[in-house]
Amino acid sequence: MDKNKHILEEAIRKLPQYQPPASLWENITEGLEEDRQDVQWRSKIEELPQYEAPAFIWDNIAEELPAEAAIPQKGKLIRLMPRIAAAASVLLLLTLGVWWQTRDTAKIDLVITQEIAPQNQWTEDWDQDDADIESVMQLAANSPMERPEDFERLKADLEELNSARAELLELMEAYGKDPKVMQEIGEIERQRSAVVKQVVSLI
Amino acid sequence: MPLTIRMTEAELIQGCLENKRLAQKELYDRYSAAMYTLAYRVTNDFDLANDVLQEGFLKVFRALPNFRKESSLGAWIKTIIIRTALSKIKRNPKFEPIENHITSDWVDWGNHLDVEYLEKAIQSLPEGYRAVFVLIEVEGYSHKEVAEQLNISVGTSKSQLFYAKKRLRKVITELLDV
Repeated sequence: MDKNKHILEEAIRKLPQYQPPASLWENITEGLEEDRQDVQWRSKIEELPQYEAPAFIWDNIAEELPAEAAIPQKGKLIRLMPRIAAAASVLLLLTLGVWWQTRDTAKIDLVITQEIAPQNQWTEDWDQDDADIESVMQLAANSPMERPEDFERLKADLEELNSARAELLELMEAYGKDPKVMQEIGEIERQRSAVVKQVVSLI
Repeated sequence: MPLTIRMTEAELIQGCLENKRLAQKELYDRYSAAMYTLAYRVTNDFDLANDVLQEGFLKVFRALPNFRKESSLGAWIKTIIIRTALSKIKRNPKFEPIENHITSDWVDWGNHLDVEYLEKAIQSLPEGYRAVFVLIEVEGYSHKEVAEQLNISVGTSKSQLFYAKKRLRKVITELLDV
């Protein structure tokens, strides 16, 4: 607590002020000049070339370093989650972008090509051998044979081939003379001929 | 008489930022006496005050790019000088909390105070007392600001000021008796 504080305040206002010695400014300018030279010096230092360290230095360092601790799979996955999420987001956005760009302007081009098979390329002669085959089979059935079971097997094969040929002929009748069907019929005819030749060999 | 054009504070700052020696000298001339006196009052030593002023102004010029104009340029420079001066005080003064002392005591300044005696009395104060007295009563800082600068509590700042004044009054009385 102060009594008559104004007396103290008045005295404080009258306290003398001191002047620094003139040499002080010279010292300050010297310091500022050192700063300027320091800036220049630093700029020169920054201009000095930089050298690449030889590769073996890192190799030596790496040898000295302790082995990297194995990262737990769970922790690794958690750390990768942001990246996975980011990649998934980008993929989703790209997909949506492509869909958006193409949804209104998409054109479906239907290209219908028709291959016209040359007509009358094949001779429809598969009925002409039926009578001859029937004759051979009757002759074989009435002839004595050393191995009649072979005949029975060949007879069954022939009946199977005949049945297959009949189905193909029905298809051809219904859907036209498709080249593939006609090719199949030709193949069956060759197999029927082979069976008949084997039957003849048994007589 | 040389014709001089007084630069505005903004021009002065800009000139100093451009490292113009004329502007730097103008700034120094404008504040050096007040800062030198402050440095002397805090340190109580002219040699230390020289060091404080030199170091302080170099800090001012170097730190000027960081001056944010939150206070006046003079106040900013004064803060730098005070910090520099306080760093020069070697001993750590012993601060005693005010709670342990009688606070109802009075310091009576009487009817007249001789400035020369007051100056001598200030010089006779221990560093802690002197720093607080100079910063608060002479320089006009608040207890909070002084507490922050001296790294003490506000209560300690108040107690230091009280005992500084008691001591001053006693020294002045003794000088008058002589």
